[in-house]
Amino acid sequence: MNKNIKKITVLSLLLALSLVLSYVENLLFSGFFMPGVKLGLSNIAVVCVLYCFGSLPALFIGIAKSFISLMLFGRLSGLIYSAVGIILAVITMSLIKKTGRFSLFGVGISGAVAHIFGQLAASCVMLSSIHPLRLFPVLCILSAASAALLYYPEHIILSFLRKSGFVE
Amino acid sequence: MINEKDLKICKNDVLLVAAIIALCVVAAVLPFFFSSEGESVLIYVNGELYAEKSLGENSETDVDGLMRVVIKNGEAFVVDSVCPNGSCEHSAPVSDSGESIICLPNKILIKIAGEGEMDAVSG
Repeated sequence: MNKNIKKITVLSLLLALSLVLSYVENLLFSGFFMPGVKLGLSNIAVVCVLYCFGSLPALFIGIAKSFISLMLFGRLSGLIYSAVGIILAVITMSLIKKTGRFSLFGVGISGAVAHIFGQLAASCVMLSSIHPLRLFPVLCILSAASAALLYYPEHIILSFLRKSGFVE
Repeated sequence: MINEKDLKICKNDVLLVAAIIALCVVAAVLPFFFSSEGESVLIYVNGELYAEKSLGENSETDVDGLMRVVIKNGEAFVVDSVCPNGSCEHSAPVSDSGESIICLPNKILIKIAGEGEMDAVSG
């Protein structure tokens, strides 16, 4: 099969998957125990793209995901926070992955921490105040915990993809 | 392209998590050493000061029809916000200097100021 076609198909499937996951997440966790804190299910797709196709496609999927999901679920005003968060997360994850000293677990957690830091930094700029960063400790622990949970599905998906030889 | 070794949790991951937790604990505990009873409530809209209220007296402020800020028994909290997720309404009431409630959709920041020392920090 033509390599490019395969890549485009898999990437668009993963993008669609990430959108479905953010929909499910919106159904399950909206305002569940602390508003604004979500499980980040859709980040599974971004991490999988990072491992299968590299940094640039992951960045693309991340940005497309935040843009489309915000359009679908009607909070386009949140685009700047979401986009800054996901861009910072993908850059951090690919740098951490490049060092070769950390596994999927460490990469996922560093991405989650960078994601929340990016969002808070963006809101600091938007509000022209340092105050949003005071939420960082709590949100950082919560997002690191959810990234630790997401390690298991990511591990299952990536081991399957590796064994099946689907991704060279 | 995917190595099996990359998928297994290793020692460095544990160190990374420990470092993150340590950082968060330090960042969470530090403000407590500097906190003091607040004096006034500052309400910012779009980064500009909208109103300043005393924490000492009970009051209710309408912020541009977007939300109401209630001050009661030395604590400030938000009611009737028009934002979609309402995280500002669910925020715990604030009373100590430096504490804040943030509503991103409305771009409103409510913060507690003490005797001028917080202004130096937040610029």
